Formats: sequence, structure tokens, C-alpha cells
Amino acid sequence: MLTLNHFLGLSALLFAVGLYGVLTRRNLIAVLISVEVMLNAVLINFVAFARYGDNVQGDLFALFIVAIAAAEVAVGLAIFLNVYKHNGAADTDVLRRMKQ
Amino acid sequence: MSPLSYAWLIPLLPALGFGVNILFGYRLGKRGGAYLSIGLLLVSTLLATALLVQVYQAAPQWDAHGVVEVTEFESNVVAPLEEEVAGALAIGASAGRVEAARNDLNAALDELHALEDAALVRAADPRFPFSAEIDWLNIEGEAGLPFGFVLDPLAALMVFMVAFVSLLIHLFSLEYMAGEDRYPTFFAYISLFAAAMLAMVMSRNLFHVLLFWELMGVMSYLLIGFFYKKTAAQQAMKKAFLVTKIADLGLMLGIFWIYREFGTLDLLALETLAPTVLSASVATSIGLLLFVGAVGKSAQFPLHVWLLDAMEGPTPVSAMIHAATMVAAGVYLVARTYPVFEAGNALLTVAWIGGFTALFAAILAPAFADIKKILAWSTVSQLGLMFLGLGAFGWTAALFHLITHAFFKALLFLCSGAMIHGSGTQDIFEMDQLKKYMPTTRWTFIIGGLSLAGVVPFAGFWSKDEVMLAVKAAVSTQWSYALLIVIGYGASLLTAFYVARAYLIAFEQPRQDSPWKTAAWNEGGFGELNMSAAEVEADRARESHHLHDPPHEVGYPMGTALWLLAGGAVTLGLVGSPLTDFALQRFVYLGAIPHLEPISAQWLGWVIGTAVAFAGIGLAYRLYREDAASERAPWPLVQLLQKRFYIDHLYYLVFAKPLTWLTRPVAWMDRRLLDGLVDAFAWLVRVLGDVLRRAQTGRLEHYIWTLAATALVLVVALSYGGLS
Amino acid sequence: METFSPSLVAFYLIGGAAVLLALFAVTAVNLVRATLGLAFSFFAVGGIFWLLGSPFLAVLQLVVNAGAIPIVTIFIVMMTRARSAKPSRPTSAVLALLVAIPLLVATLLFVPSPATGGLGTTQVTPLSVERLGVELLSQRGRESTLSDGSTLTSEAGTLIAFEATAVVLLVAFVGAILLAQRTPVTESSTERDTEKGLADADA
Repeated sequence: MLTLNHFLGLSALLFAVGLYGVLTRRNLIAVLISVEVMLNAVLINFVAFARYGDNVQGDLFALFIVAIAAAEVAVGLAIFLNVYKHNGAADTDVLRRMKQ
Repeated sequence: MSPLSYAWLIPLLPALGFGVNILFGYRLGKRGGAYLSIGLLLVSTLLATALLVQVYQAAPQWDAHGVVEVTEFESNVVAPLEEEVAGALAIGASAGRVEAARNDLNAALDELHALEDAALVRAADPRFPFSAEIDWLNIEGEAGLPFGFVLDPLAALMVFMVAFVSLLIHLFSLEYMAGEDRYPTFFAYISLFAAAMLAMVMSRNLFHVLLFWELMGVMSYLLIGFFYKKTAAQQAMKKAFLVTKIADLGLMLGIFWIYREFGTLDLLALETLAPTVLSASVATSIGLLLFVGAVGKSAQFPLHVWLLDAMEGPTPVSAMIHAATMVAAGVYLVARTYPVFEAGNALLTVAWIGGFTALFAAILAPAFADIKKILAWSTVSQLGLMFLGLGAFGWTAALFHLITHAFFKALLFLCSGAMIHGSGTQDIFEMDQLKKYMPTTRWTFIIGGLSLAGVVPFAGFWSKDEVMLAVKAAVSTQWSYALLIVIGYGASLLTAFYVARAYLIAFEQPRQDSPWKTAAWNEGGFGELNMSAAEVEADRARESHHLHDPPHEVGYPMGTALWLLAGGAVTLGLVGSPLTDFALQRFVYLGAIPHLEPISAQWLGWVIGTAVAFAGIGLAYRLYREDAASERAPWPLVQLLQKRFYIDHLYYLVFAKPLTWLTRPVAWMDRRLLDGLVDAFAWLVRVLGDVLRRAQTGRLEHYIWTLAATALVLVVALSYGGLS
Repeated sequence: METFSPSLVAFYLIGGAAVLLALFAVTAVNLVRATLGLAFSFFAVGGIFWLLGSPFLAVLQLVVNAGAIPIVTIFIVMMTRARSAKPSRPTSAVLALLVAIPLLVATLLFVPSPATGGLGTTQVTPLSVERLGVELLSQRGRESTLSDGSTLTSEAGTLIAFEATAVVLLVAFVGAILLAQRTPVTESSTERDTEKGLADADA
């Protein structure tokens, strides 16, 4: 029988994978990709809880997360483009001057 | 149209003037804000006039002769019968005799009612008195504090007077204050001052009376200290504020007590509740507490000390404080809460404080050379007369005097402003035969002076006579009122004397060295109390007296204001005179029906009043016509008067000095301990910031790793907690 | 004891695919491949949503996450010719595993066991698109009539939030365009060089 725990476990796995990516990747796009994976893990969590508890707010939350994530990707990629144009590369290494 | 539909605008418009002036005054051009203030107040005044007319039309109309008949019947027939019944009961007469006396009394009362009905020309409008309220502060299980207006004859009359006089003072200031840097600020302040007074006299709830009362306190504080660079002004503003605050404590206690007794602060309810709910002793206590507030606001002895120092403010402010607002508030408060006073025995105290202050201030006034200070004492004295009237059951008389006084005192103050403006000095001895140069000021001053002195047919005569008439009538209730008659006429005599003296020296005499300034005992003036010698010197240097030679006459705005007020000072008394069949007394009265004495009972008062006024003027004329400078009294007496009987010195030594010592340790704690603590925190934050700054490496990886490690710690901690 | 069911099989297949594809996405050196891996992983997550009885979200996942986002990402990758990412440092990989695995274990431990009768035992309630629409596009407490004639009272009512999200999206897109359009600093290349030099010196 398929239980809530299955989905929570899947979500945790995806989250760990995404986290691993965020921590290891040096290219900004790759970091963004990893963040997206983590976001999806969260989405699964929301929808799973919502469906097993029949609570519509979880679905709505997931919906809004998808919308906002789209905006985030747009802005993130634009920033990436800018960094790339400015530095000729877009690795986390070049962003070591964020203090200034 | 009900007056309620527009009455709320009357205080709101000047308040709007304040808002605009304080926010944008300096962007509206040199005089834009002032014109706006005056325009708004003009609309307010027109509305106030409409209000007065409408309230007058709605109020019951009485036939003068009928009212006189009622009054006579009451005192000649009903009162003796009442005494007879009481007497019969007291000596324990037989039931038959008591019954017979009662029957006689009842028959007389029936006749009285018939007479009252006959005297009523037209009954009141069913909506009269106009009142309305909206929820403002609701408290569960309590009456709460609804915000409301009551527009009865008292309110309507006060509103009209305040708006009209304030308008003219604004107009006067337009020219008088022209040279000042803070011109818009000045207009903002006096606009709100007027608005607060207007709102106060319309308020239906004692709490709101207190609210606007305090707002006036703040505005007077700001205006007295308008020339805040002068140390004397700073001291004066503080003194005025503190002294009135002490009095306000009494007022607040009185209001709290009223709420405890009645469960409401509604003034309309007060009228019906006070006679029934209050015991005599409680009513007396509440009355005395309320009166303490009035004593402070209206500068009555022993809290009169602030008013003279308040002359440090600009002259229009003095006019505002002394005529339209502030000091009138005290009289208004007692008049508004009169049912409480009637239910207790506080009125005799009111009368004696008033009478004593009237004489006390009138004695002091001739000893001063500063025109504004003479007028300040005059205000104290005249307010004393009003309280004397209130204390002697002369409710209408006191309010009548309040209204006429507002006009002639505003006129006199504005005249003094014109004199100062024209001659460059406040000292009457230094003014150089002003009658030659300032005809407008001269004639308006004469009108105001005659009105103040109580000369037929000027306004002051009629109202002052009404007050004395009330005191005379009160003798039948308490013998000591007889003494107060003498005191009242003594004050009137001195009043006529000092105003004539001021006129003769300022307008008739050539310039001379002020004897007060050269007198050895007057070294340092009054400033030595709360100012150091250096501060006094600095103030004097800042004033930089330069006398105008020759003096110049006022311009059109000031002249217009003077003549309009003079018109009031001449004619306003007529509304309370036989010429109009005592229209005012038939309009503003306490109780169910007005109270009018027949003319046969009044003419003696007129004769005495006129005689006293001419005696005072004649005395001044004899003494000062020829030679003004030489002293007329032994200098220790003059010194005693100049130092105001050393009452201020006494307060300073007994209250101010010890308090200053008490505050020293507190000040030390504030400066060292509390400020030190604050500084320590600032230092701590700075050090912490220096440390934490190093954590910000500016490298993206570091941030990500920190984030992940934190998440790990959190999850581990949470899961551990969740599993255990 | 778990009973065998078709949905369980589907879950393991789809879930396994999602995790593996995600693993590929976060490790692939070639960014285009990584993006493709992400797209398919998203596709699988869409299937998970289907399993959870939320068809609308599944479709949304396909359209937005599996469709639009990878396409934009690939565009950017191609525009910048940054196709292959710098390989990860071995030390950071070890460190990352040291963080991610304990996190995973801790999370899994935190999930209550089905045997204790916790959260995991009830049945999935499918969410109709109609109901989601009513909740999304109305105000709380508002009654709506569904197509079958029954009425439904909105319990969440996120109309305002929905509109606000639309504005946020608009702002984000306009902002993204502005950011991307900004011409690179052209005053001098030497300045960039000195900056780079400083950055190197920093390191």
C-alpha cells in the first residue's frame, strides 16, 4: 500500500541530492539546477501532505511555489547573464567579492 | 437647518488653519498662511453668528415685564410664605396652622406658575438646546466618553464672542507681527488656541472640556514663549504652564469624582443629576476642586502669579489670553458646572476668592509702569469680579461681564500693542504725548478705558452693575456678601483710577525717565528670582530699546480691529440694559425662567457705580494731570506693590527652590547612570559588530556551506527531539 | 507488512527515475545534459503528483518546470557558451556528502513510522481541478456552484494572493529583462583586469 511515508522519503532523497549539488557545483547555472531539484522535493512534500490530509491549502501552496520559482529562475538566469558578461565566466569563484 | 449641521466646522476651521500653517506656512509666501488663517476664522465667525441667531430663535422667548412681575411676586409673596411654612414647622405649631400656611403657599405657587406662563411669549423649539453626540471611547459596562456638542445659549454666546474677538486679534496680528521670522508659526499657534477654546465651549462632555482646556494650556505655553530666545520668556512659559498644571490637578480630581458619583461626564446630565444625586458635602468638595482648576486658569489668588510673567509673549497673545481664551475658560468652567456648585456650599468661597482677587489686583495695578502689566492686573481684577458674580448666584451677570470684558480688554490690549508698536516702549512714562500722534489709538483706548472703568453707557458699566446687583441680592442669604459689596466698589474705584492714570501718563504727558527704572530698589527688575544677572543683561541687550521719535499711528488692519472692538465696547452693554429690556438676561439664564429685577431696584446701583467710576478718574486726573513723574506714595509701599507683595518670592523660596534641590540627584542619575547605560549598550553593539563583520567573507560558497551546516544542525536537533 | 499493488510499483519506478535523473542533473559536467536530466526528473515528479491525485499540479509541473524552465536554461547555456561546468573539487564532494547524508538520515528518521499509526496510513483524496480552481480564484467563504450542481464553500480563497503573484511574475520578468539587457561595463578593460587581479590577490 502506498503511504505518505513513501512520498516523504522520496522528497527527502531528492532534497539531499539537490543539497549535494548546491554544495559541490561551482558553475552558477549548475547551482541553480540543484536549487530547482531541492524546490521540487519541497513541492512533493506539500502535495503529499495536502492529499493525504485532504487539505487544499497544500496544493495551493505548491501552485504558488511553481509560479514564484519561475520568476526566480528568470531573475536568476538574468543575474547569471550579467555576471557572465561582466567577468567572462560564471562560477561561484568569481563571486568572492560580494562583500563590497 | 439645524445648527448642528455646521457647528462642528466652527472649531475645525481654525484647527485647519493651524495644520496648514504649521506644515506649509513657510511655503505660502510672506503672508499667505496668515491670510488663510484669517479667512478660515472669518468663516468660523460667520458660522458662529448664524449659530447665535439660530439658538436665539430656538430658545424660549420671554416678555420682560412679565419676567419682572414673576421675580417680584417670587420675592414679595412666595418667599415670605415659604418662610412662614418653615417657621411654623420649626416652632412645632399646630397641624391646622401648618396646613393653612401650606395652602397659602400652594395658592401662591399656582399664581406664580400662571404668571410664568403669561410671561412666556413663545415656547422653546422642541430641539432646544441643540445637542448631539457620537461614540468616541466606549468602555464595557460604563457610560464611556461620547464626543458631543451642546449648543445652548451659553455655548452660542461664548462661541460668538471667542470667534469674533479672535478674528480681530488675528487681523491685528497681521500687521503687528509683520517683522517676525516665525510669522506662520505664530498664526498656526493662535489659530489652534482659538480652535481649542471654541471646541471647549461647545463640548458636551467634561472630559473633552478638559482635553481642550489642556490644549489651550499647551498653546498658551508656546505663545508666551514665542520669543524663546529671551530667558525671561522661557521662564515665563514654564511658570505659566506649571502653575496652571497644579490647578489642573484639582480640576482633574473634580472630574474623576464627578464620574464616580454620576457614572457619566455628560454636561446635560449634570444639570439634572447634580441636585438629586449629590450630598451637600460631596458637592462642596467637587465644587472646590473644580474651582481650583478655574483659579489656576483664570489667574485668581493665590495662583495669579503666572499671568503677569505671561506678558513676555507678543501683545496679540496677551490679548488672546486675557480676552477671548484661556482666562475666560475658568469662568466658563464654573458656569458650566454651576449645578454642582449650587448643590453644595462652595459658592461663598468662590465669591470671596473672586472679591479678594478683584481688590488685590486693583491695588497692585497702579504701582506698575509697564502698560501691559497694568492691563494684566486689570484682567486679574476683572476676572475676580466675574467670580464674585458667580459666587453671588449672579450666573448671568458673571457671563455678561465675561462677554463685555472680552471686548474691552481685547481692545485695551490691542491698543497697548499699538502704543508699543508706535512708540517702541512698553513703559507709559517713556511714551511721548501719544494723543498728538495716534488719534485712532487714543480714542479707542479712551473707549476701552471708560468701559473698563464702568462709565455710563459703555459696556463695562452695565455688566459690572449686574454683578454688583447680584452681590447685593445675595446679602439676604449670607451677611458676608455685604462686605463683598464694599470690596467690589473699592476694586471699581481703583480700576477707574489706574486706567485713567495709564491714559494720562501715556497719552497726555511728554516723555520722561521712568521713575521705576531709576528707583534704587528696583535694580535688576523682577528677573532676579529665576534668572541670573547675566541672563537679565542678555535679555535687555536683545530687546535693544529704540524709541520711535516721533511715535507713529497704526495701519489699516490694526486700526480696523481697534475700531470694531471699540464698537463692541460701546454697544455690547446695551443688550443687558433697560434699552433692550435686558435681552441678554432673558436669553442666557440658569433655571427655568430668567430673573429680572425691576428698574426701581437697580437705579441706586447705577448711581453708585457711576459715582465710583468718576471718583477714580477724578483722583487720577488730580494726581497725574500736571506732574506724573514724582512719586505719590512712600517708596516702601511702592516697592511692596512692585514686588507683588512678595508672593512670587514666597513661592519661589518655599516650592521652587526645594524642588530644584530635589531634582539634582535625579538629574545626576539621568546624566551619568541612564545615559551611561545607553552609551554602554552602544559600545557593546559596536564591538560586537566589529567581531561579526569578519564572518562576512563575501564568498558565495561560504554562505552556502553555512546555510547547509545550519540546516543539518537544525534537522538533527529536531529529529532527536522528535524521537525522544 | 506492505501489500503489493500497481500504484506501489509505479511509485518505485517513477520515484527511482526522479532521484536518478536528479543525481545526473547535479553531477553532469556538460550543462546541457544536466539541464536535460533536470527536465526529465521534473517530468517524473509530475508523475508523482499524478499518483498523489493532483492532476492539475501534474500538468502544471510538466508545462512550467519540465517545459519552460529547462528551455530557458538551455538558451542561457547556449548564449554564454559555458557548456561545461568546472568540475567539482573532490574535497568539497566529500564534505557535501558528509552534510547531505546525515541530513537525509535525520530526515528519514524524523518521519513517523506507519506502524505507529502516524500520518502515513490514510488514503489519498484526489483533488479535482474544479475544486482547486474554486479555491484558487475566489475569496474565503464564498460559495460557488460546481458543474454537477453542488455548491462548494471556499476555505482558502487565495484570489488576492493569486493576483499578487501575477504582479510578482510581471515584475520579475521585467526585472530579468532589464538585468540581462544591461551592457557590460565598457569604460575600460583594465578596470576589469585590476578587479580580477584584486580577486586573485584575495584568494
